[in-house]
Amino acid sequence: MEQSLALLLSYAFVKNALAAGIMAAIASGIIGTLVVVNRMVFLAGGIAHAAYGGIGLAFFTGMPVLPTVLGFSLCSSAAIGILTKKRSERTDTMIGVLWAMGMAIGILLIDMTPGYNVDLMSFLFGSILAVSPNDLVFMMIMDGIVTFLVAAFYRLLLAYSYDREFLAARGINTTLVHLFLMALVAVSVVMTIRVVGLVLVMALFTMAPYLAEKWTGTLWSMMFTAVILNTIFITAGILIACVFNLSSGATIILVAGTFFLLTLNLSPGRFFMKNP
Amino acid sequence: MTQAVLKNTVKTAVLALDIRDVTFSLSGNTILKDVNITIQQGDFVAVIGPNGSGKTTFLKLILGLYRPDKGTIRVLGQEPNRACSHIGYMPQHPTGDRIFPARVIDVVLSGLIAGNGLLPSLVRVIGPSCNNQDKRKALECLELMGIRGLAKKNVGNLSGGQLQRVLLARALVSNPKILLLDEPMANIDMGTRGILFDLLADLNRSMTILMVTHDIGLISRHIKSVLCIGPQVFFHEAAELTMDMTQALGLQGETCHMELLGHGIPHRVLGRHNEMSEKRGKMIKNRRSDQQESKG
Repeated sequence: MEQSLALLLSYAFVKNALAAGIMAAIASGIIGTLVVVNRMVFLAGGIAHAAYGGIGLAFFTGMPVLPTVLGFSLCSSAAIGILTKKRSERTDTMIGVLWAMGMAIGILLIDMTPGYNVDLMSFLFGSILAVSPNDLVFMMIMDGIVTFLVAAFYRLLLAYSYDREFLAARGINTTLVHLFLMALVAVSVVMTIRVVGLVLVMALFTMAPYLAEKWTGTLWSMMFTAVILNTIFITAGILIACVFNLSSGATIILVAGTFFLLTLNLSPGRFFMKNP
Repeated sequence: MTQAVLKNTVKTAVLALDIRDVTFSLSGNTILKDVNITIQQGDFVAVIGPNGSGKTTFLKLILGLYRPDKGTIRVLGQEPNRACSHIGYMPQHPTGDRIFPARVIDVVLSGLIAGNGLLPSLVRVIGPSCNNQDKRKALECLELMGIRGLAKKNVGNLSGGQLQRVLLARALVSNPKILLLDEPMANIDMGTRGILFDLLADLNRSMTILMVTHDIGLISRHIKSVLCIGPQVFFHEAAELTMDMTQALGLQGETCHMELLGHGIPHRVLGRHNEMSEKRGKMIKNRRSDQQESKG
């Protein structure tokens, strides 16, 4: 076992995969925390699935995939953000509409693209073993931007998440904060698509933050714990997938899901929180 | 430490609140109709009215969270959106405990964030943590509320009354000129109510207070005037403690009857609104203190 691990780690593609996995863990842990505390899991799922339109656009135009998907997702997240803000009583309906429309656009654009693309499945279910050095650079920059923005606007995001109406009463344009948060979600989703695929993205955005929330008492420690958990899930998932020759995305999700179900009723919070 | 909160000096020149011909409806229901109210700085107003009469909506109009369909609202002589950094707001306590990963002090500190209706003033927002001066202010406010010991506790683990005091501290931390309180005493036990009312009276020396309340029994001796909200709004420039507000609260019509409660001598009755509006402008307040003494 040790030998096969050492052998695995000597391959460049495995190293790339692990590097990409850790970067996806950082983005999904931090932004997943904000998604969970703002109760916008369905919203983030909508952005993730609508990103399929961006993949179709990239194939149709021949543009580089990740930047194209990022641009498309930023637009669709802004659209979802504006529609959900205007009709807040029917938020989930609006998300459902854009979720389906984004995917439909992607399917039609791929229909119109000459030739058949085998690579398509990798965007749906992850293709971490085919991460290129270009992808790595792109992910690193996105990670840097997301981490910087969350650290810079930490207090604003905390206040928004706790009580957005109070923030509006203090004279803050909460629609802008909402759109800002949606854009952060879009960037993180695009980064994570490479690792687990857009269908499975939501698992990384929900399971680790949920467990982290039970074990911690502040937003930043919840983010930190979620990043650590996601790093463990993704690293373990990639290694298991390599050893047993399985799909990396699905393996990661099952590792995370098994851990999630096993620890659901444990509360280590008792041991390291002053006031459980 | 009370002094730290009481830094504002009362300026009487600018009206705290100047509402002219305001009509507002929300999803088809007319909540306010042709409302005219002026409230001087330094006033302590109880806002009363039946369920669904629009008391909370009225506060939200003042905060600029809603815009009136017709008419103008001026807060301290400014548009509500511009004045909101001078307003301390305590929303109605949400029912049920809310799990959220933040400490009490983080929530109080969020009361310092301010903006001009578009962008936040970045000083309060940029950077992951607050400066020590802000932290000291937040701790002072928690101390005023008698819950300094809870500062590091998770907000999800508080009782309803504790959370309410945290939200009151959050409203106070920016040292506002106007304090808008939406049912501040709803979950607070009787002993603490007395303490908090005394505190509000103290704060009232430096800030105007508007307080929504359901519970007429709570209209304390500190209140200076009463605002009745229905489709029309009536402003009584005197606090009358012994009125049968339960009847007033039950009435849905356009009138607001406040009648005599049969104990306490001398009886005090608020007149019908038409009489009151004629009397408007006269200062009845000076009678108030004599009456309170005789009431014992």
